[in-house]
Amino acid sequence: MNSEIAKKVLDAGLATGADFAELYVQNKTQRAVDLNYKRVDNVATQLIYGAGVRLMCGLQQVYGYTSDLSESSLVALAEKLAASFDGKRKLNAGELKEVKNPDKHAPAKEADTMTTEERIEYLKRGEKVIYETSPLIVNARCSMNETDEYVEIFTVKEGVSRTVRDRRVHTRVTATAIASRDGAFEVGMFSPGLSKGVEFLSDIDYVKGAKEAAEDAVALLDAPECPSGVMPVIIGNKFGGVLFHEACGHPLEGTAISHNSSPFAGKLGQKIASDIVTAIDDGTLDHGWGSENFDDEGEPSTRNVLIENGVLKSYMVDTFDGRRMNMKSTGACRRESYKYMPTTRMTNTYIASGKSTPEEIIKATKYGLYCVSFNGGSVDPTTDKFNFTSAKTYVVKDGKLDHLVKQACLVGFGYEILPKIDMVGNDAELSAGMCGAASGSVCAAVGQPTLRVAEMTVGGKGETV
Amino acid sequence: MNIEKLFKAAKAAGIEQFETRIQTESEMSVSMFNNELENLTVADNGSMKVRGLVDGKCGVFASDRVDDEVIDMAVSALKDSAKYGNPLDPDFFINGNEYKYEKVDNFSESLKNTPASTFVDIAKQISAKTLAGDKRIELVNVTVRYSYGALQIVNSNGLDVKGETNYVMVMAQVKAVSGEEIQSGMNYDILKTVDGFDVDAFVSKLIDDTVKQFGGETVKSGKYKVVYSPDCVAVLFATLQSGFSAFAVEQNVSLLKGKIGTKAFSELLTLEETPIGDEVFCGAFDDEGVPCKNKTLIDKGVPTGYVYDLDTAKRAGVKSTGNGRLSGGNVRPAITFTTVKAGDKTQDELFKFVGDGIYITDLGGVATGINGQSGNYSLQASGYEIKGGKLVKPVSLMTVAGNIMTDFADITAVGNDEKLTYYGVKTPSVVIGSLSISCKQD
Repeated sequence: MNSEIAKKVLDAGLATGADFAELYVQNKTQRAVDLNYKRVDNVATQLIYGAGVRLMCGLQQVYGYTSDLSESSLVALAEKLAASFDGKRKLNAGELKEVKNPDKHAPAKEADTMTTEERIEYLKRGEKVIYETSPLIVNARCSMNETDEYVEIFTVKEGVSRTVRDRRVHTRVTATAIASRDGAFEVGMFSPGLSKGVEFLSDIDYVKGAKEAAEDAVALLDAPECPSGVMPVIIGNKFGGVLFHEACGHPLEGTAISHNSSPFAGKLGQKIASDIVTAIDDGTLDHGWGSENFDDEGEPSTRNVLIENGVLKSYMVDTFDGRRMNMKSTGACRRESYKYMPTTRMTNTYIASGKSTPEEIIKATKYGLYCVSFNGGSVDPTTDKFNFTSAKTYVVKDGKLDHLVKQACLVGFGYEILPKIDMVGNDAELSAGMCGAASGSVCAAVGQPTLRVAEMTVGGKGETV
Repeated sequence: MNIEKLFKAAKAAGIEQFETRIQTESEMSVSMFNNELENLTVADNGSMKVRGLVDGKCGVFASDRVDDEVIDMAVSALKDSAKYGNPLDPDFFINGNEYKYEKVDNFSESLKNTPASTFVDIAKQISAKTLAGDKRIELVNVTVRYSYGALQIVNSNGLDVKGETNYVMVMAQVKAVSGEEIQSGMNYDILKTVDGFDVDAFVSKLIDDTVKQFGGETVKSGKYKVVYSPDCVAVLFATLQSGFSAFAVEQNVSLLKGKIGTKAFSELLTLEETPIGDEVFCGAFDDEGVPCKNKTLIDKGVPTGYVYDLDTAKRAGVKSTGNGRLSGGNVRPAITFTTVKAGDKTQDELFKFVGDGIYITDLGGVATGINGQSGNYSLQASGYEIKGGKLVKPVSLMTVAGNIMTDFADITAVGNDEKLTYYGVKTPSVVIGSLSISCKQD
């Protein structure tokens, strides 16, 4: 985008008294290669290309978007939005100075260093091992999704006119195995991803992951139903972090805090979790799945300690919500695309490692569940009522893994669960996920070490414990 | 975009059959936070998708950029995609002149011309009346969104069909506080016109549904008769519908394989696909340009047939049912809008019919808690305990576990309270004979 055009758009937006103006331009290419039903099922490219104009005037915010990036279209959009306010110009778009951050997440190998044929061959190795694992496998879906996104964000904020440019490259592979017997189906999945180029593909052992997915699907066919009731639950590391993401992360976002619609509003400095819980949202992690050099309103990403030794230390804040909260941005403003007005979102959110080994945690549990992996979950940020669905789950008896069970639904209130975390493992790791909320679906990593919640409500179809 | 230029470029590049879908959409959305106008969003946007055959294989490309400068990229990306695409019969790029399309009336000129101030006024009224309606309501967020969408499909065999739709979604969320207890509530409505929209009734339901949840208690875990509200039924049906896909049947991943003509469900259950009508989810043609039609999918508990796109229909030796939907780079059979036939019982009569049981008004975790392949589900739920045919207390946190196939075989009553849900299912409440409920014990 030509800076002179950007300046005209911002000036048009500021004409009626707005005290903040932003032009966000996105140019994103998505590529997908899918093997499914024992064939190459899809090789597709999609161009996501458009712009959003956002103005603020006090506690009012107006947003418009278009895929027509001509000067006349963008200026007309800015004028239409400016008509929402009826004041006099307070600001002009001065010279848009470019703010630069070191590109910490640049790909080492660009997408064009690998051919489509090579991508297909890579995925076929996963597909082959899935089918070889068992005759009970009825389908293998092996996919590669890559995105290469350029954003330009022109902003007039607090009297400063600036330009930020950021490139975000994501690569993710998925291996899904479906096993079936006597009309019953079970699913196993492996789906790692990072902010990397195609070098990511050689960083991971895709074949091993695909094989484990197939073994999980087959094993689940024989697993009995999960018991239901209230019991201790050990949450596995990596994607187990979806617990914190749902139960605590969303209610700590500025969107909920600024409207006083979160149970954690007004609790900075207070004890909200057990002493052994430290939780962080870190958008600066090298090549993290949810990392960015700048957020989607041009603020530098930060490492934000949300909870330290059980005490609430910080929220995730964007410019607009920060106005109600009287707080500065923490670089956590994100959006799926130009079609969404941005708001506070998580980046890479995790609970830090503690001291126990995973073995010690299992050994200390007389009866309970060990949820190794999850399908995902959701939360009502107002009440903090959450749910998440386990995928690979064991019953623990007398300090040992007893047997595998089918998926269970874990429910509760985040503010009740956080103080009940009574053991935290030393094996924190992150895992890729997609988080859907007000500003669309964004790449968000979740993570934690193995940890235990002393008591949770478990819903399963099996016996009531 | 100059469509003629696009088709010429495709032909010059050796693309034998070619199709383009041009979508335009516009939006005007206002959001109130308490009594303040907080957000306004306006948009005029376009996108395109192209499909074409190169050496008998189908390639695709999609773009939000719809101008002449994207033509070269579209043609070259399509050709690259086609190298690995699935073989497709050239006849699947249909001649539109061979088909007759039914009228779908879901575009309103008067709604299009409704001034933004009307939407702002509705949002203000809801916000003010909700805050004034009950002193326990502390916060209210109201969004009124007008959406317009148009779709045109043109192909190299003379197909040129166009449809357009517009509607308004009114949505409000509240936070209510009573002592230490916090409850949230939500109400929404999908409107074809805002004339006559009953703000008072909308607000009354919103407040009532929210404050009724105060004083939530637990119930003993175990098996219960359950009344599912329309939104809950819609969630479960949205999953079941994928089982009607002839492609899912071919791939052995359909819940309904082998069930056609059998008494798979309760005889109280009749489900129709209803794309022809005036609701927002209706449409006259599918993504291959084939006319859509209304049809019965489950007749008194008996599934009557699968749904087909052109490809699966050819393999099965039948005609497309007008259910081809573009998914990624492929067209696959899918259902977009269904209606569950209403029964004759009011909601109160359903509670009386149940006697003792649970009324579930909300299901959480539906994105991950339902196994579309097996039909098993385990979900967060909230609602009320029914005793002696009446709601006696709210139950704010429980889980419900079941199986879509066996539950719908166990429907023992159907209500007359049908609702158009945003899941694309219009349905009343239903009663399920027995479901596993798990709840924290006092």
